[in-house]
Amino acid sequence: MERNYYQILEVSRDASEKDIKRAYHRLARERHPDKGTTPQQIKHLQEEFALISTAYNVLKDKDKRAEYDTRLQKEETKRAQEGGETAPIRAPAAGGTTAVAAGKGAPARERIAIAQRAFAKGTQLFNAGDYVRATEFFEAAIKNNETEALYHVKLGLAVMRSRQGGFNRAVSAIQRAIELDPYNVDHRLALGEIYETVGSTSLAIKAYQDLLKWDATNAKAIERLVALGAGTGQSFFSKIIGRLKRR
Amino acid sequence: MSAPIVGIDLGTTNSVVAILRGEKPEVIPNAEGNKTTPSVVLCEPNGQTIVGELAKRQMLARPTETIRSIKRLIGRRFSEIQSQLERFPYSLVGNSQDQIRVKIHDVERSPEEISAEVLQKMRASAEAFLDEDVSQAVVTVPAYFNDSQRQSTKRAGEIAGLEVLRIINEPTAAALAYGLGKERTEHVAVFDFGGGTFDISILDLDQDIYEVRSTCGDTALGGDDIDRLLFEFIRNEIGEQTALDINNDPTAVQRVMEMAEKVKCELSTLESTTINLPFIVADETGPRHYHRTLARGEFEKMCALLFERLLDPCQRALSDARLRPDEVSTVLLVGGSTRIPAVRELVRKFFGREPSSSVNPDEAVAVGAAIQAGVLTGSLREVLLLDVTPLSLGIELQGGVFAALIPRNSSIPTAAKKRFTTVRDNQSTVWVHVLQGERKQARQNRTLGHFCLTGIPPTPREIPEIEVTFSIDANGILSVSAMDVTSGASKSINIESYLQTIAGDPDALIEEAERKAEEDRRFLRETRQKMRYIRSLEMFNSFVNRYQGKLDESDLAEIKKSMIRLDIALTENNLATAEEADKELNEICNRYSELFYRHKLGYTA
Repeated sequence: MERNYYQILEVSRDASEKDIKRAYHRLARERHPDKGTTPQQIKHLQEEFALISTAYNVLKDKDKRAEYDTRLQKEETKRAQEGGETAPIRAPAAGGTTAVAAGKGAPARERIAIAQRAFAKGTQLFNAGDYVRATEFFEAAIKNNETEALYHVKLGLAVMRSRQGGFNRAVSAIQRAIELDPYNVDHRLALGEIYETVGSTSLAIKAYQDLLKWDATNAKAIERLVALGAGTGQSFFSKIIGRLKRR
Repeated sequence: MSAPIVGIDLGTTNSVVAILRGEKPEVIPNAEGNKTTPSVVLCEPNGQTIVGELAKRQMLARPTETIRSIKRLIGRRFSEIQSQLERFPYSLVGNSQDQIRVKIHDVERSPEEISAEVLQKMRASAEAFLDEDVSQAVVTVPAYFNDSQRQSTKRAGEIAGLEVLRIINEPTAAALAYGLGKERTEHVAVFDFGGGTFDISILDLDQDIYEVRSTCGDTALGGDDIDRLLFEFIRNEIGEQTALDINNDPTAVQRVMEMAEKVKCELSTLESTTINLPFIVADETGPRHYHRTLARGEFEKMCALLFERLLDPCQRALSDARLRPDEVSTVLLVGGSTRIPAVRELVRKFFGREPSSSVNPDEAVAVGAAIQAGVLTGSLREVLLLDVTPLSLGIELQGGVFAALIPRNSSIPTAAKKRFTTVRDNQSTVWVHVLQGERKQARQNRTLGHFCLTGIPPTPREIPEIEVTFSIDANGILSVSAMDVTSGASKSINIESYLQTIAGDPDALIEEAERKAEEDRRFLRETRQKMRYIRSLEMFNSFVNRYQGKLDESDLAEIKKSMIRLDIALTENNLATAEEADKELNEICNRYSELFYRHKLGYTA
């Protein structure tokens, strides 16, 4: 597993600014490229110290550190959850076979490749306007690699655009994408779009407002909120929107 | 003992060379016995060059053959310096790649070559003084120099036969000179106002570690500009008194320039001085003279706006360092322009304390470079410099947005990775545009280079993952690489070579882009057509199934034959044959006009 910035700098999570600086200086005394004597050694130290500096550049800055801490925490929670879920996935799945589920017994890497091909094909169909068949391919991609957020989003959009109902299915696909990749606000935009398509303004507003919690200045979301006449939600965001409206 | 490594302060107006002897730095005098050498190069008609004191003395007699302030031009593009052209008495031209060339006696020289002449002179001084060959050096540059300016300085060293082991920032070097042997822990600000550039750096000194917290500056603000103001002042007065413009006479220009510099220096110690320029111009009534006294107050008023430009970088450096002015315990003044009382006063007011006078403003930078040379030879094991990158580095994204990978004031050496993707289906090439600067809009930052990553296998857009890696070495010099994660195709550049290697390529890039766009359009068109024939085939299939009994035997056979033909054409991707077969099918079925028409309508509706 990749080391986090605290582990790279060899400090604890609650290290003070001073501790971090001291740790950086200590590591610099040992591993700065200037301490190397042979070209190979210098090259090796250059790479190693670059990593140490990268960690330091984030942790030395209060704001960047806070941001990093949040991200780190989310990742750990996610990893813990995934750890809990691996068992059911390994258990033999009952039924639910489709034409493209050929990758079932294949080794993991092959299945990922199959998923990529299915997704590529689905995207081609999606772009050509054949949403019904695109849906099938996206489903096949997900069957082979469930953890790729993009597959779920595309599935949701394809289901929605195929105009064969399936609203709930579209929503749950996109919600799964958000779960997998909470930092990509585009997924949240897609969710809002779906709610808007079926005329559920209140849910759309809620989706866009949720998005603003992650990206407070997202122009698209603000634009949609203004268009939907939303000013409610959290006071902070309504202020932003109000300000934009006044302009 | 190992081969000597010298430290060279390659300045806009003066250069200095120093060496570490034992643990003690020593400034090396030149052949004329001076510790500073003017960065002036005289080009003789026979192609020979003279550097330093002797060249400076010729400035008056031969202004168009004497090159000064070359540091203002190094690593810049010809298009960038248009507004300053008239400041240079010698002739400057741009070549087809927008590089600057100094043209004297029909010989074109690059700024790197001119700087190399100066470095060569410093090297010769050191060799004479040490009685040893010198082939390695640490060279200093303004902290706010960008990547190209650093690269060019390094190349100048190579031309001079010097391996530049390290490029260090001038204010950081001055801090080394100040801190050596002090073992103190404190925040230090270095205010470096030289002949051509201004830098401010904030450092943390921690025993033997010198960590730069932030740096800021202006690469086009220095003593030269003050001289220029005085020059304009005198020129205007002569113009008012005589109605003659001295700009028409290169020798007069040079005399006034020299007088301006002299007046500036005198006013640092005197309250007022006299400007005496006899026979400066002549008209039909005979020679005319210029004479007046200038008080320090008048001079300061003249420069007030220029001095004000020093404050903004100070403010920014402090806020980037997250310090208040009073948390800085020592302020070092470096560079000849800090001798001006008004500048010292400005610094004293800004930081709320008396600036330290413990380093020699002319020599500190070279001394610091010599100390860093000592670190590299291993004779100063404990000392360690941790510098930062002065400007943000990143790439251009779709829509012309600048995405910083390494923000300004990041500690170096460092590296950053970021993943990007394609924007078009089957896009096989990604264009990586590397920039440096603080603007959000890419085109307002400075292009350091660009290159193409090719060989991305055809996939829908947003599928490929392109990993771009930036790394900055201890010299502050950048290298960039890009890799397609799935295919493993990769490409990297050392930014320095960009002008040479990219030449002529942009046209090919545009052509490639246009060809790709056409390919994309064709792909889309064909896909749409194909989808239409597939639906058509389905429709005929159901028509036949439904009305089999009502169709003529021979017609039925023909229909089936054509359907097979269409099916094969579609699997073979042969759209021309598919079109023919589709047409045939329509013709045959039209014989059953009403039946067919109704079926078709029902099928498509």
